Amino acid sequence: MQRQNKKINKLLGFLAVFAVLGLALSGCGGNSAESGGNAPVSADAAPGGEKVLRVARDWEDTSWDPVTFTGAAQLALTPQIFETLCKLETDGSSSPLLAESWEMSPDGLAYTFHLRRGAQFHQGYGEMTSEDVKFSFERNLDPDTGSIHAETLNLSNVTSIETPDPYTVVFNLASPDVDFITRCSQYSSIIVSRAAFDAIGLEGFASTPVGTGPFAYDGGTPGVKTEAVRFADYWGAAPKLDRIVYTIITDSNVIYSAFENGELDVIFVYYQDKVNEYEAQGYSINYIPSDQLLYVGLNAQLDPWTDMKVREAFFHAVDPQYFLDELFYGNETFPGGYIPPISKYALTDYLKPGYDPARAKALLAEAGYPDGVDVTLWCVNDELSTAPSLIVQSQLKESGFNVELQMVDFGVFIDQVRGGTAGMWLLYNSTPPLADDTINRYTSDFYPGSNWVGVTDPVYDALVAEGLDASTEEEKTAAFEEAQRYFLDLKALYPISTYGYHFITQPNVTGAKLWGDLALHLNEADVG
Amino acid sequence: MGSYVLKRFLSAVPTVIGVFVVVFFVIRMIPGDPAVSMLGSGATEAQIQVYRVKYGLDAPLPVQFGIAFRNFLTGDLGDSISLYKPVREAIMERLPGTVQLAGLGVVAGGILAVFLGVAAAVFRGKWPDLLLTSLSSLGMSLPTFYIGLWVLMIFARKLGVIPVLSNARGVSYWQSMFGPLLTMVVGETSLLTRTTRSSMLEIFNEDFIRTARAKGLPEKWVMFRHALGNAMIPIITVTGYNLATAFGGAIVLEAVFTRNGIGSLLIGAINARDYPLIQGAAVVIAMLMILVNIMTDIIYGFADPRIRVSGE
Repeated sequence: MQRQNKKINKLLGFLAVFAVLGLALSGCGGNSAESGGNAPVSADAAPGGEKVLRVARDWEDTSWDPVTFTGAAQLALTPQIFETLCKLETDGSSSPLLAESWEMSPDGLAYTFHLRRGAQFHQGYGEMTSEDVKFSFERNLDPDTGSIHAETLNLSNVTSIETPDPYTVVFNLASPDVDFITRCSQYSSIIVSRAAFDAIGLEGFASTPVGTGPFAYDGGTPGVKTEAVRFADYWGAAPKLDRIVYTIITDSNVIYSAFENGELDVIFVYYQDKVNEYEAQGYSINYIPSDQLLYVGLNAQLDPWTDMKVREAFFHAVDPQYFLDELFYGNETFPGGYIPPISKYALTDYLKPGYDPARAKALLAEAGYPDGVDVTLWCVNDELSTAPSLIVQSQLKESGFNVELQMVDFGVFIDQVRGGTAGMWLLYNSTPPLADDTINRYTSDFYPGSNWVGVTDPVYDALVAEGLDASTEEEKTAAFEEAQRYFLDLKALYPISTYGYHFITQPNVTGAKLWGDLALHLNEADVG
Repeated sequence: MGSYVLKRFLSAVPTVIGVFVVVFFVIRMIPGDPAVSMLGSGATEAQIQVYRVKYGLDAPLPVQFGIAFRNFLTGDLGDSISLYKPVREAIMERLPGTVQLAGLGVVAGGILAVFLGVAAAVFRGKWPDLLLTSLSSLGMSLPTFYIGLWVLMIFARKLGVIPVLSNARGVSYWQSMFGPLLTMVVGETSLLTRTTRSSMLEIFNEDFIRTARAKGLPEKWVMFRHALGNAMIPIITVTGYNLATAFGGAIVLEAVFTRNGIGSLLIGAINARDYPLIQGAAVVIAMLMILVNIMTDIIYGFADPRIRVSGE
């Protein structure tokens, strides 16, 4: 019996030690983030010498139907999978893509596009023809698609789309549109296959992108992961990569770990400290000015912001230089207007920083708030918005604004701001390459709605209408610039800073390009 | 036994309906408009209205509830607003991964915990006992995501035996399961080890154990047949609790280990204010928990016939 007990004790003792070791192993270890870590076991291995580029980002929307895209980077692989009639270059000009050439009628009321022959759709859906172009544009008018591009494309101005032959499309307009070619170069005018839609339907379009780009969709789940392979029948120069694997990872720490472990080739980094760390470790650092601005909006329909003196006091209470130096480490600039400099028609040199707390206090006193005023600042509770919101709160305190901070999720934020119950908010806001929509959204027609600042000013409305109806680019520029000056003088929106993106690549990655709209361009990318 | 199981399942029906009703109204009380969330900040009122009509969000709340409830009773969970596919299909795509992780985690953790608990009880007051109880306290107090990050640090970054991204190409099933499974096992083991230990110690003092030893039964037999067998009720209770909470824990682990389960589906649905998908996922998770509770009750009957008799 005694011996039996000993045997059991030995067995249990062994089990205990084994378990303790296991538990201890899980609770100890060094800081491997700094030491570089080991190579992964077999993550995204490239069978048969495939050249695979692995990209990660922390967000992506869940539909891949282009009519629902709210930005060029809705699907990060947009430029790889989809194409438009014309290509929007980084300088704002348009060059041939699916259309080899185009011409405008002398009266500016008709645009004729001559399509590229032999441009094939992925998955065997055949050659792209004028019928596909007509179908792609007209889908935006079908309420069932949930399209949000009809206004961006100014489709109410398109009276008809003619297809005289498979390689010619004619857009007839009700009035001249000086930016029609630019509209045909934006993500909102992506050309999709009619045959694919007939085969897979609306639901299929949301989960299976079929385009004409250099890479074809090769499986994945919207919002989780996408794979794309080199499209053998691509009409243009063949890309150097065989495959792109794009993963959505919501936890930035996991992104950093995977990148440092060699499991990712391209990542986006929002924090300068992390960028500096990677720079010191020899990774390739790339910085791109984006289509976003960091701004604080003031609802001119809500007290105390109804009073121009209070809004003016706010403009003197914020020190943008502090943001540029301390938050953005000198990478960004004061925008001078509410349209990002990379967008067409942006006015970038009108507003000047005017930080002056004494003047702000005096203005508040004149407005009837000699002892300060209580206000609420709404912001999204993400990693990016926290620091600038705290800085705004602290700076406003000096000038007599007692700021209560409301950090909420995006759904709540947008409900409050759009619903007109938030008096002040901070946001990073993007503008498409063509600034029409952003300039137009602050007109009376869009209040309540997307005109969050509640400005309903007939003079501004008239200036914007003049710009939208202009028949020459010069007239449009003049009207839009005057509109922007007028709007900034209303002091309902304070642009604090431009905002750019850092994307970091492994040293062996070449040719990957990120554009200001956060869309990756990988046609020339390679992994050495 | 059959009628008992049937009764338990029937009694779960009102609970499931209750969950459906509560979730339906609670998610609609959360600020945030699904149309605005999906269409973006620049959407016009006209576009938002079109979207609301398309997904029936423009109808009065009682009407929306009536339609959703009628569909629910027929097994139709509706269509996802954000994924553009039936909710049932979206859930069925993701559910197996979560169930596998939770199930394997609880089974592996359970087996390990029982051995550790028995060991701690046998070595009561000695160093293995002190070490195990201290570590189990630590395991209970650490959040799951924190343990997960450490598992990544050690096994992916330091040792390189698993990848950080478990959904990457070329990663085998067990490589992808190792990290989340180990994390779950550490979490699940802690509470159960303590429960097993205290339950065993209580049984050790019972007369029938002394009797068994006095009769000269082998100690192994006494330990595992008599002591452990009679200590099983609290162990089963905690295992059932662990399994139920494992579904919640899987949500966190899926984010840390980039797994595509029902947790990440639910988080995406909440961010997009995808009412039908939130509703469907919440109801399915609730049903799983109810199922676990029923299974626990049934297993009680096998572990202790007195419970089976009184239940019947």
